[in-house]
Amino acid sequence: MRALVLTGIGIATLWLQLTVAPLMALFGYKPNLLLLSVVVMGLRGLEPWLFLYGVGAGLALDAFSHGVLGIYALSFFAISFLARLIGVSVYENSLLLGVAAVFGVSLAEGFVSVTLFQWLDEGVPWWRWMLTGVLPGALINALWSPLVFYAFGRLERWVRPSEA
Amino acid sequence: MLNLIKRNIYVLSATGVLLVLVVLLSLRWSQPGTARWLDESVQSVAYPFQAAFHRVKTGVVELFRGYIYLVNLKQENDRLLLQVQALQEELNHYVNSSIQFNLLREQLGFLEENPERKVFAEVIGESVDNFHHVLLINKGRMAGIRRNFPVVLREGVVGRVQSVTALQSVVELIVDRRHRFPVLIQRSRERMDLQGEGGNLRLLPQDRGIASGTGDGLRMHRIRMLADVEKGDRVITSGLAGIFPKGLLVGTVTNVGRERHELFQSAEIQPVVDFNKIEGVFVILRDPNDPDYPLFSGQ
Repeated sequence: MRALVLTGIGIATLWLQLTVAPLMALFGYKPNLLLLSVVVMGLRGLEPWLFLYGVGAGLALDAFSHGVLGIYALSFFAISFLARLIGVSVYENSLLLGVAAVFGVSLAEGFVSVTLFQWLDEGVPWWRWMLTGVLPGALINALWSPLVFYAFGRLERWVRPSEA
Repeated sequence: MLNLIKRNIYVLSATGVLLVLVVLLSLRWSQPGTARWLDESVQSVAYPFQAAFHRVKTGVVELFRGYIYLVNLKQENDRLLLQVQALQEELNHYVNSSIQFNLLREQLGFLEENPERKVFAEVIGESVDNFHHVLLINKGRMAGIRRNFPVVLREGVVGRVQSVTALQSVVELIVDRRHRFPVLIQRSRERMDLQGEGGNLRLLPQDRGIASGTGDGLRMHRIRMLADVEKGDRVITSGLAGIFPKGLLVGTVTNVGRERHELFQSAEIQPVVDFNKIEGVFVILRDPNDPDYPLFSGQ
């Protein structure tokens, strides 16, 4: 059942990423809804096997962004653990902390991705990508994260009404 | 042993997944051919979903626009609403037809006036992340398209074919951060390399300097002081990299900055193609016996 719900969430988020995220773009930067779903689930401690969901979401992003297959999978794998760690040690259901955590984890994900890009292609200007791609992307993710927190809060109440 | 595995199933699974991902990425170095085959297989699977999602996205946009439109009109009476709606729909239809007709006529003219063999393809998708600037088109190997074939519009250069499957191709736009190709300043014939900057372009003059783009345009910097670059200069392809034919328009220099205390000058460039409004593109087909056949296309 849990695996089914996770798969459903993954497919729905991918669908939103492909159809709605371009409409949510600000200054040309799209929010990464797949990343947001991984981070929010990690912070809320919803799934102990989050890394599997993260790898799946990363592979989907790799496939649909037509980049190097495995880069997002690896970076999402890493941040799923980071998000869970923050969720266990810092996060206390505070929206402000949540938004800050999304910003930080988005930066971390960007750091891993860009480093891997550079590792595979030496021509990649690391600092430029971090400043012009990762930083604005992390801000956009943080800006949209309250909506995702709200959506997952509702979803949690619906899936696990007794615990909510 | 079984108990040990059961006790550590979480750690073992995570390690296994990590190993698989590291091997997957290592393939890029050790076996690029296998990695490319893997990429193309994944693309083939993703293609129908991406095309379908693209259509849904277009539908969502239309629905949203329709909703806003209707909310405003509801303040008027029903008869006028229906009448205006009908007229607007009709007008919209004519305007759309007119725009499409003009666009297609221009592109058709381009097709006829240019002797190169081209294939027209519709854009059916785009990258979902902020790093890659690629377009998905609905023609592939079966239409004669190969890797590194140039992609153009009547206005100028669009990009190059990054990867091909039987029915679709991925086009890497010239503004993609990974893209780099040699260009000329049309007036002075100053030769430079142009590099995508994600929405922008970056000029790298060969042994003369570097230019890079900003968020809303193109920016050249580290151009040597003696290089003859002026506002309004047209930037064209040099034909040297073995991908784009010589003389295709890339963009125009919109501003040149010369700081007295610096060793180099800088300039901004506006790409001639509006990459947000591309609905269809031309892929220039090359014969393998053609001396201009793009390098590495068969690999």
